[in-house]
Amino acid sequence: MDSLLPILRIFLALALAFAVVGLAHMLRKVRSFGKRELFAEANGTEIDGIRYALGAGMMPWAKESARAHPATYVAGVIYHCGIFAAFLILVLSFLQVEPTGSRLLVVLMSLGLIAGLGLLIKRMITPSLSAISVPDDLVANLLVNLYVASGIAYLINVSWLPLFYLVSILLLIYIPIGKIRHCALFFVTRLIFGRYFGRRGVYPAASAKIKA
Amino acid sequence: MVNEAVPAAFSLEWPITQTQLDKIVAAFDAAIDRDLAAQMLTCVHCGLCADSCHYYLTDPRPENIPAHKAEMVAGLYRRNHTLSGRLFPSLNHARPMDAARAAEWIDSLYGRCSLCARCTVNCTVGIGLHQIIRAGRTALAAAGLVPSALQSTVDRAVETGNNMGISRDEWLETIEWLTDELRNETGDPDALLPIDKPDCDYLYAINPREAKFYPLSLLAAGKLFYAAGISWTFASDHYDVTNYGLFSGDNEISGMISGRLQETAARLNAKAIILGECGHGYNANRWEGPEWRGKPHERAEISILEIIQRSIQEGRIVLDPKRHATRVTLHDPCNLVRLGGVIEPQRSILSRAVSEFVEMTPNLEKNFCCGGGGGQLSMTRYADRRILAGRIKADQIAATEAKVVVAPCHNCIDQLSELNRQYKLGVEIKTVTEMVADALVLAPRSAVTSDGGHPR
Repeated sequence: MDSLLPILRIFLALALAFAVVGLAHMLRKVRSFGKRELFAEANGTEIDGIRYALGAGMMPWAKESARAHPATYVAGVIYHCGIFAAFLILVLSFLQVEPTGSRLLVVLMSLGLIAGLGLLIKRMITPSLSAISVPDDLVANLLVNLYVASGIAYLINVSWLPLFYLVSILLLIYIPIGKIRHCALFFVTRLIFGRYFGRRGVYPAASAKIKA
Repeated sequence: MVNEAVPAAFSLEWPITQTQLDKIVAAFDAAIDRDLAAQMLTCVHCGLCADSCHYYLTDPRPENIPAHKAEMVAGLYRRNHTLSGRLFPSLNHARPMDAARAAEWIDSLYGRCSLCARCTVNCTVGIGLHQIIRAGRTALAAAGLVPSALQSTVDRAVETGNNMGISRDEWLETIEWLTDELRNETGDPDALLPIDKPDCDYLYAINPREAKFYPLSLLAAGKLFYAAGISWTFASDHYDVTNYGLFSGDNEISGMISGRLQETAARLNAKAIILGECGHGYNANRWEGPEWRGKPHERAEISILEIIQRSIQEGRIVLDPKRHATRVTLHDPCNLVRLGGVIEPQRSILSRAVSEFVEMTPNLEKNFCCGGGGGQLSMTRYADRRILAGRIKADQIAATEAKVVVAPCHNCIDQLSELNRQYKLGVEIKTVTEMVADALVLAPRSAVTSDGGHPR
């Protein structure tokens, strides 16, 4: 299997390039629709709104959706921590650097995997959620779970590295195709949210008031 | 609980032609800018927006989930503008536009959404779901697929100058008898509700429902302006603050309607425009108007709440809160607060005008929609859904144990009045202006100038 590693590394690099180019193309396409010039006189500042959107507005207490579903919110946070940890492992292994604190990373990624599976189960058994789900939701979740799981396997036993690379290649190719593209668009959307409500003077003004 | 009385699906009264479908696609493409395009690719289907929607909370069916409504529209974007949407359309429901799809859009975008944006502020990502849904309405409007009752409200405004179709004579007559009332109330024979008076500081734009059904609300504003010594006038032609184009989605008509107020203010040489208590009127004129018209407003547009707040702060009017001894609560109209940014004035005013003020829970920009926005009040087809969705607001009101609900929006007042009857709330529903007028301590006549105002 070790003989496969150099080839997998090449494919991994190509897959990463595909993901980056795919996301860049997507963003370019988005930008091609043009920026709408705004004429209404601002009542607040866009920068304050953006600061809120990327700061206090991300806190769970700022959004009823997160407050009302703390378990889902926490699971989401842990899931993403596990994904980022797996990505760190992937980068280190690609650079052929031995990860330090791998036991901690295994715990983090395992928790992320459990959270990911939990969110998948929730999606399948919650009628409202399954009703709005599309095949992309299933594919994306399974791919990411497999990616985190293979990362854990690699940390436990290096012989699993080829599998980790193989799954990572598939995941990277899938990123611009499916919902995982939100890794790039999440921050874009938060910026848009902040600008929109910031210039209207809604945020951060409203968040400063007491909500009895 | 699902209310079985609510119609499950939209039944088409007319066939949708291929030409209309083409128009939907073309108008939808024209409505997309880069912000909208980005937002239409970001939804992760977490479903957490469901609980923020009054439609879903009162009728938990998938069609009522905000993400479902917005994704229906976003699917068309993905289909036509992404490679994955073209190559793997079933992967993320990137469906082409066809007659069945158009019918679904009409039912969901007009019939299951009040464009309140509560889902937007609670979206875990921050997607402008209400903007996506309105872009869908814009596409449907271009194809002539706006529900007829809503379209006729827009048409009436275009043809007659106001959405109630009030004739000029009827309007002038109303002002005339209200002027008599104002003189009686103030004891000042020179007190006036001016009309077409040139060179005033403000042109006052109202919701024509006031002239038709709630004329005493106009009297309250007149009394308040009189007491505060404000230089203002009504217009005899274009005085309508409402703009149902915001709800139909027709940006061209919306811009034309919004432009009329600016043109009228220019004709009368008024320095600015006071927007009466109308949530969507504020959003449509103050925020969206310049965008639809493609240029900044020549004259500033200010909410009457800001004028009242300023008058109180400057000591131009004095209020006696003891005149409102019962518990009072406040409804936050979505277009005024969440989308308009007018958050503080009404609270500041009520803190001076009433003895006991309690907030609803939740409140401010997280307050629930009453259900009357988005053109729902005019679309009788969806009346059952509207009343059902309003149950959330009724529960909020009941929980405050208030006797008076103040709503700075006439559309909200209509909906709240229906909710009051339907859910037996036993509350009185008033505008901020009415509350202020009732609490107003009028200055002695000697302090009033000859033109009906106080000396500055």
